Amino acid sequence: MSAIASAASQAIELAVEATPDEQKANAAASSAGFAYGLAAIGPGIGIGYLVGQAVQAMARQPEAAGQVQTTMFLGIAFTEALALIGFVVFILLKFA
Amino acid sequence: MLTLFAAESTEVNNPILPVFPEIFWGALTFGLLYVLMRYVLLPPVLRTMADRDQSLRDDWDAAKAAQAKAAGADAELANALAPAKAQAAVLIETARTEAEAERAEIIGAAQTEIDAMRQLANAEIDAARIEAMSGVGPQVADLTAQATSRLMNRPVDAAAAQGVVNRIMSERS
Amino acid sequence: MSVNLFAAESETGGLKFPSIENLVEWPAYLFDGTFAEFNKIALISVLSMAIPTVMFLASGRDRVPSGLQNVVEGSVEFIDKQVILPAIGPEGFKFRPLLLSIFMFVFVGNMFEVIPTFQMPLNARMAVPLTLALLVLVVFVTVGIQSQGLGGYLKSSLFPPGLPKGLYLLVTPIEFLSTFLIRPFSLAVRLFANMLAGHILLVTFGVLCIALWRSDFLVVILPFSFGMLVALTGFEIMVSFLQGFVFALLTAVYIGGAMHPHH
Repeated sequence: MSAIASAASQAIELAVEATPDEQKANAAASSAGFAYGLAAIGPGIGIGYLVGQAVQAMARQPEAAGQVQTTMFLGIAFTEALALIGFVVFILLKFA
Repeated sequence: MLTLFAAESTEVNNPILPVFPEIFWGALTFGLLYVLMRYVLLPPVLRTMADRDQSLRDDWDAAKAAQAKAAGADAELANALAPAKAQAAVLIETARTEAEAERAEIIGAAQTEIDAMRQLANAEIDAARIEAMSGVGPQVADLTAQATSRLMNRPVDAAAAQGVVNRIMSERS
Repeated sequence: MSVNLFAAESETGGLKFPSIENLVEWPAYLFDGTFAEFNKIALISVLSMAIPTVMFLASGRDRVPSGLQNVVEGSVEFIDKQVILPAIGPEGFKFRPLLLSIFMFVFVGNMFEVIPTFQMPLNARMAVPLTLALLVLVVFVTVGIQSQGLGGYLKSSLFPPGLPKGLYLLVTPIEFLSTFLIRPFSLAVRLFANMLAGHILLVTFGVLCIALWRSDFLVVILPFSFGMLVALTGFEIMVSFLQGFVFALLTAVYIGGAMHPHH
């Protein structure tokens, strides 16, 4: 019980006595998580679709598998960049 | 770019911004690797691979040539063998015809012999039958006459009986 | 009432995760404070240069390859068949040293993420990816100018053919941004963020394993955490290779695009 109480009192202290800098840091920390989470949605769907289509193409034409694979990696690299920029923004927000 | 100089001060850097010493060492080592790769490391490897490709191609060509040569030798051999084969075929044909004729001759001789023997045997059989018939006739006639006279209680003419028996026997035989 | 999960960790009862500065910033070994401060990252840079060099020098030159020679010739052939031919074509073989160096440097540097006692990917610091990306920018612009002339290259890269005139007001700035700024930026960030994320992931599970090992009864979930750590190590080896491949492949694609404009 005492641990919960102390945590609660700490939170209240934080909320009451936060200076503008601390408030900014708190806001940045909480939005950092959202930044990465939101950035991961689109590329997740995109990569899933892309790889699914690539697998279909390889199953239909196994002799073109090498070509499809190379193109698939290229597409993944381009799509993934969005999620990775989200990750960088996360780090920037959290540690700037 | 400002962060590059900020790195020299002891302030806390953002962990994702590059610092100059690391760029320096990275660029230096990568440049060194590129130069080495370009002028020292890669050429011998490429030469080895090209040599291997070349020697494989040479071996392949040599194998193809050897195959072609072997095919030529085969054809030559077949050409050389052709007259001998024809001669052999002729010889075989002749031998077969001769054997056929000989066999026909032997079979014909045997057949004539057999025919003569059969004629002789038939003649013998006929003679024996005629002799048997001529021997049997008077006795049968005599027996018939006696039996008939006993049955009819009166004498029967032996000559008449002889005639009847002879007629019946000639009918049966 | 409350359960102290990580009794051994701290008296306040929380799992103390190391701050990110502790994960990626390293003290200097030599020349502290100068422009050539030699720290762990610099050491890994030197090793990433030295290991491929030694591999190439030590590999045999036999007609039937074996051992190290297989690895070396396999990597050369991999760059030829998987990177140069699909992305540039046969005339791209003159870029073989560049692409092979990029692939080797990035791949070996990444592999230090899972090599014990190093456990730090070279490219989880922005320095090397940034340098390489700027180098790639310089290379593909140079190739474009060499093969099409300055005007021709700018025309083909900034004014894609077959659009109505008015659209160029919109398209040209976008093309400029995407070709000369976003390409190197995304090239660098892709490599950097992948390796940093992988590094943080491995550290997270490593710290979790240590904390669980010292905890009272939550030690029963240690096998899962440890299994995850092992699986992620394998995954990171794959990512290391893939990032080296993708970096070389994208370099080749950009060079190929600069060489044949209507590709």
